[in-house]
Amino acid sequence: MGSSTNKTTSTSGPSNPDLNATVSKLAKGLGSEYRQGKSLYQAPGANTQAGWAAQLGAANNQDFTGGIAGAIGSYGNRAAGGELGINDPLYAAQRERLNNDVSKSVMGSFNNSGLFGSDSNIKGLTEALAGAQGGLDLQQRTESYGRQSEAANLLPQLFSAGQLPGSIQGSVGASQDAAANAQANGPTDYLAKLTGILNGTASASGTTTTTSTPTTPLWQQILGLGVSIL
Amino acid sequence: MAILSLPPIIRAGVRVNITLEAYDDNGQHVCLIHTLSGRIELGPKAWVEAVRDEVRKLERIAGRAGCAEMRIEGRNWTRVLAPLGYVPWAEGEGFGLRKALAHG
Repeated sequence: MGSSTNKTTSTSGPSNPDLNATVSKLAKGLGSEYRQGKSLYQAPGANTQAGWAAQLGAANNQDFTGGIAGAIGSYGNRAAGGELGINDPLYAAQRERLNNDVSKSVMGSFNNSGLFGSDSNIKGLTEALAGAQGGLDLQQRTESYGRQSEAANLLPQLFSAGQLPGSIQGSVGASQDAAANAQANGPTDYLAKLTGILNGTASASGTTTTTSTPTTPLWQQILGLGVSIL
Repeated sequence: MAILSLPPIIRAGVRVNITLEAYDDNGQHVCLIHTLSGRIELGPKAWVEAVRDEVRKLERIAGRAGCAEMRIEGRNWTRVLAPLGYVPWAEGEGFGLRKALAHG
């Protein structure tokens, strides 16, 4: 639409008095079609509401939220240095089994030879354990650095995933609030508007009617809008 | 002559403001669609149907009010409104269309 308007004033003298009655009826008919309190609100359609419900249902999936919470706890602990190296519960258990196996093997051989408890027994056990654990601990430590880094990199993604349910709830809630707001604001006092217009109608009373008309012809403005206007 | 500004006509994909003008023409009351503004964001067929639907409503209201004729001017509405019975307003007067109303 054109942005500028010309204010034109036209004066019409008393015309056919029936026109006033026609205008009254016209206003009444328009007021009935767009009657007072008639809401322009269009309730969200079934598909929209079903979509909202589905989104909220998915957002409330306890398996997802529980899983993400658990993963954040686990990876958070790992990123902070927990569950790494010999603090890794699985590795600690594996290490303990290795100790037992080595000890059992070494002690068994010394027991059979009659040297159980001797210096060579202790020395043999120490060497065996050191040999078995040393390489394993080194490997575990090296892997731990990688797992700690991996965990630190995963945390932001897990955090974002944890925000998804709340984000969906917020988005759906905003749409629902907007619909409720539109419903609340839908009714419009059309009749009052039309009555106000009627009161200012000048044709039958011989007073002056002031209207604002665009500076450019209507058809030009309409064509300028492309398909936007009837 | 009287100008009546309707509240916005709002429906799915449509928000249009219409101003009607009622006036006397040789003893007959005429309802003219004076100005239009707004948007109709619909596909071509739905666009035409929406316009015809709203124009039918206005015709009905104007006819019951005692208007003998409905008129529209501005762009060429022939393609959209001819099926509703609109004919050229008068030779050499732009794209104006008119339709006699049954209840006028």
